[in-house]
Amino acid sequence: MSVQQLIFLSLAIVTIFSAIMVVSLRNLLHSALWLVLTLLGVASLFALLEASFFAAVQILVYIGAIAILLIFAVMLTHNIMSVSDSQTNRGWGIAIVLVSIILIALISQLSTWEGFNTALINLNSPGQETVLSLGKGLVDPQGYALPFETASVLLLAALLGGVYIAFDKRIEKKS
Amino acid sequence: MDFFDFISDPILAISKWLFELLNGWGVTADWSNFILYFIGAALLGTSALLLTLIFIWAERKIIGRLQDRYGPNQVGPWGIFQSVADMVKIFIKEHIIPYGVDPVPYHLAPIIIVASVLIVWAIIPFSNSLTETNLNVAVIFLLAVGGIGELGIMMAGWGSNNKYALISAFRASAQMISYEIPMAIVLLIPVLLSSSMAMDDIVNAQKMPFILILLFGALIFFIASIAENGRAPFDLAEAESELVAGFNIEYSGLKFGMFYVADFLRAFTSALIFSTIFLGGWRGPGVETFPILGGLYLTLKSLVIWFLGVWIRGSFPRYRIDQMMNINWKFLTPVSLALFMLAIFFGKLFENYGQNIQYLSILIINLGLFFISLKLINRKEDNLEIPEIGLRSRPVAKPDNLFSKDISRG
Amino acid sequence: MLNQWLYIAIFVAISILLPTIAIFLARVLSPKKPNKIKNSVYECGMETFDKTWIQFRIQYYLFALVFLIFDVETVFLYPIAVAYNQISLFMVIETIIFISILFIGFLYVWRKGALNW
Repeated sequence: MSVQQLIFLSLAIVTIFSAIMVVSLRNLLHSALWLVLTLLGVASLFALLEASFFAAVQILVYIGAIAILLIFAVMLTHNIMSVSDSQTNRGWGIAIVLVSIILIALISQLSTWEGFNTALINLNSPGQETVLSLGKGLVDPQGYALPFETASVLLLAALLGGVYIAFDKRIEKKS
Repeated sequence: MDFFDFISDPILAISKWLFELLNGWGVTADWSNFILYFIGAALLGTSALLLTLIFIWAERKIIGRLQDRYGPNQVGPWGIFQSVADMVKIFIKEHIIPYGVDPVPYHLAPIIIVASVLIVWAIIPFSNSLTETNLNVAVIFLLAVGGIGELGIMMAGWGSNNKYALISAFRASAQMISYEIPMAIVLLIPVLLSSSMAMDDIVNAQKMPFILILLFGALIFFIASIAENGRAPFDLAEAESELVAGFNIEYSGLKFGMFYVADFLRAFTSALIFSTIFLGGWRGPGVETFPILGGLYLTLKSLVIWFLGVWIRGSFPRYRIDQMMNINWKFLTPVSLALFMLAIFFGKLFENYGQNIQYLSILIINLGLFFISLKLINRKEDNLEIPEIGLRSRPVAKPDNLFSKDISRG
Repeated sequence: MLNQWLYIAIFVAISILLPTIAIFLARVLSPKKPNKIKNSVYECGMETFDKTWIQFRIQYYLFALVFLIFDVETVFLYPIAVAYNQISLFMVIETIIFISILFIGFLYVWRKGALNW
């Protein structure tokens, strides 16, 4: 087992464990912290795959903005620690059986995939080539220019929608 | 290695010698690289933390002189051992842990805050031969690590089980996330000018330091980094007179010392980043033959910027929270967006006429925007409404009625 | 496997380890005399967290939201800035359209008053 496989295995275990903790803890704020650890694990996996841009963007956007937004939103709610219902619903037995069947089917199907035996393309680009081609592709008219502009409209919709929903009209009338 | 090699670049010479030594012992190249990285990182991290002591002393002396008093001057000549005495004191103080704290965030927060400042030292090029890693997304990494600092502050605030700490943590993180936007947008322009996000490439592209091209942009970046650091005049989160010491109220002993260390170290780190990106980093006369001079130049430049920060700290009164947010969202962000849009447009228009004309056009845009925004601010100040209280109107101190005998309205 | 991130990973590990060691050392060296008054939370009366008595203003959430949108926009702009020397004027105008769409949204939010504290 090479060093790279070892590192990947440990990062994957940390990520999956934190993901399980996110959904199974009662305390909402603790879940938010475990979510941060999960996102850090995903960012490290990106870095391991030499997609440095996505690793940095993952930390910047997900942890620096979305996790903070989540924590603010969690603080808005009351009863963050007194959730006392049970963690499972009535059909949890059947759910476990079904999910295990799907998992076993997936693993057995994937183990016959020959992609696992082909070597990874060594991107070997510590320079700016990946980011460069991303940038050129984003604005190229034959590339992804239209999805790029649509993304800006999507962001605009998110901005206006969020402000419309969250902003109290009574405050606006008062000022 | 001969003497000249050693003198011109001691750190590279020592690392080469260590590499040979480890290879001679039979360690493979990968592992010896790993060990060298480890030793370098440990030395850099420890020296950064120990340098903070000197900075704390220097800052206290400078602020003392700005306030017309001596700084610390009892412990040792000129008080240079004051920081050491403080450090020893903080080390042996009791860690009082109040009831009901959430243990994991409470204990992790100081570590995360110090870590988020130290990690920035990994990507700064100290000299042109010593880049351990030329991370190709270094600029985004800078911003990302700032985000981790905000997370640490939120954890400190909520782990303390204290209403005031929580309010202060909210304010501090709202302030920090707000001021990241002008920083991110202004940092786009050096990336544009050097076609790369790696710090090494940005330094290499600065035949002319970027501050001479980006006057207004550098000013925006400087203001935003002071606000991001939480220093005066933006230090509302730790305002001793208002929020009773803010989010680090329930911390005592070395945990509080860690917040303190992170604050002062971050001041110097932002000075380092500013000098790398805008002042040319390790560039200076004679670095080709003596690479070690690069480190010296970088230190000198960042000391100048750090001194500017301390000077501003000792001179300006503190901003209110709404004034702080207004500065960011109603001035810095639109202005930096406008600056970027104009810079890319005109930079592309004049691209065919050569690089100098391009730089000149960006400089003109900077100066133009600076004067336009000054005019806008002055016009807004003249139109400020004076709020009525009861039946009387309050006189407002505006510069033109400071010397008049009657303090009538406006 | 000599990754660029190797040095950064080592540095992250060291920068987490150094404060931890320091705090641990201080814990060992410091006296431990807890008593009830010392351990009470500052400004008594605020022990429990079940009733959030904080007047949580919506402003915090709004600022975080606007910050998120502009953060994502900046992330889109970084690759374009890296590729600046190789794109034409038309593509620069596309970028300006991108920014101005969001700028108009920002002006709307400003006028609505959501950016007041």
